[in-house]
Amino acid sequence: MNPDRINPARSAARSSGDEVDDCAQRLSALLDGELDADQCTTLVERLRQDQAAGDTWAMFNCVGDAMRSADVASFHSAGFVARVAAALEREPTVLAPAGLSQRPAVRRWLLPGAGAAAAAAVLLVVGLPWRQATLSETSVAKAPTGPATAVVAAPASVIDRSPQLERYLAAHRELAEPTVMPHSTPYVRTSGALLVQEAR
Amino acid sequence: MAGLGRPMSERDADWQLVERVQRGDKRAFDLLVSKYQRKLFRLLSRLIRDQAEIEDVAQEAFIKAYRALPNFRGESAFYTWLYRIAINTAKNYLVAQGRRAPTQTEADIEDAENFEDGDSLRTEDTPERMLLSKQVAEAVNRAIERLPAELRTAIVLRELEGLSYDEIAASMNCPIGTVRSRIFRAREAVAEELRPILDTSKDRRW
Repeated sequence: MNPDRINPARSAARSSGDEVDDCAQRLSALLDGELDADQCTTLVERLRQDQAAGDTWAMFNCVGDAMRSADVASFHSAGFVARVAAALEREPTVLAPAGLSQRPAVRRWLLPGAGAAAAAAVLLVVGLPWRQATLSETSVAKAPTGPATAVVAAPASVIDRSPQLERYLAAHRELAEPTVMPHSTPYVRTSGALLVQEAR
Repeated sequence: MAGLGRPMSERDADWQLVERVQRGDKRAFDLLVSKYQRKLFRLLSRLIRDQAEIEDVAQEAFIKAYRALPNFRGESAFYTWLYRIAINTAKNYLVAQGRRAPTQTEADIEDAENFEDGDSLRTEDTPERMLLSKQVAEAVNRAIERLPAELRTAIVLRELEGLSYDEIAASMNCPIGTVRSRIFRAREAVAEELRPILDTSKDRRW
């Protein structure tokens, strides 16, 4: 006979213990870079509320440090993470443009040859109907991590971009200062600057 | 058991968290702070003697790193990038205090970035820290010796040799799930030995 059917409290306690163990095991795997993105998301979400999970993460890191160097582990300071987290609460949340990490590296030497593409980019941005710009801003507001993407990802039926222009846009993203302002659109600003220069 | 190479998947693991922070998840940054605080403290201890000052400068370095994270593109390992920020923060701190970093130590630290934890550096630890370090080493050795052979092999291959789960599974001729479980159980066992020494009771936050 299953003892859990006799004692539901014990069953619940064991179930809870199994869940904690499962969480700790996943934290261990996360530490080793052995979780996929979805599992990572779930776990980090859990860490928002689960104090014990945070402690487990800290301790597993400490184990690794201690095995590699007892000297490093001896610098442990309980409560330091909480202190930094409290300081971070006063900081504005940082955001990087979507796809920052995935985009291919673009060499600076590509830029001098991109003059024609730059002109095309000006035409592209200026030529877009205002309605489309409004739509882009709306998409930025909904997805604050994608200010660059919002401009680049214009419908293919409206814009037929050449590979040269694609390279220019990629190079521009590579060199542009990332912004923490979710509604700013660097391409529009750059194009505007070019127009001012041309007007002079 | 010091200073062996960190695995490629370590960098991947960090990058996973960095990307989350770059998408606006502050909590993911806590995990990086938790992971690298000790290494940063020890690095800063080469420049600053007082523990309270070390923690202040480390906190400032982490905040600066957080602010600069949108610019981090993973061209170097996260901790290498973080260490540079920490060294610059410490130098600025010392200048502001009317002090300056010992020239030799500065050079050593810059070199140490290429040698993982910089274990080749001379330390000027206090007797208390030396004692704690000795206790930690003893606790780790005790825990590792008590482990069943398969758990000991798995954790050593992971933490010291830097092998991925795939590689460990191939080496130990067992499924990846078993490797994952063995490493987890070994960590739990070592953590049990370390907790009383490092004052990491569960009522404290991280």
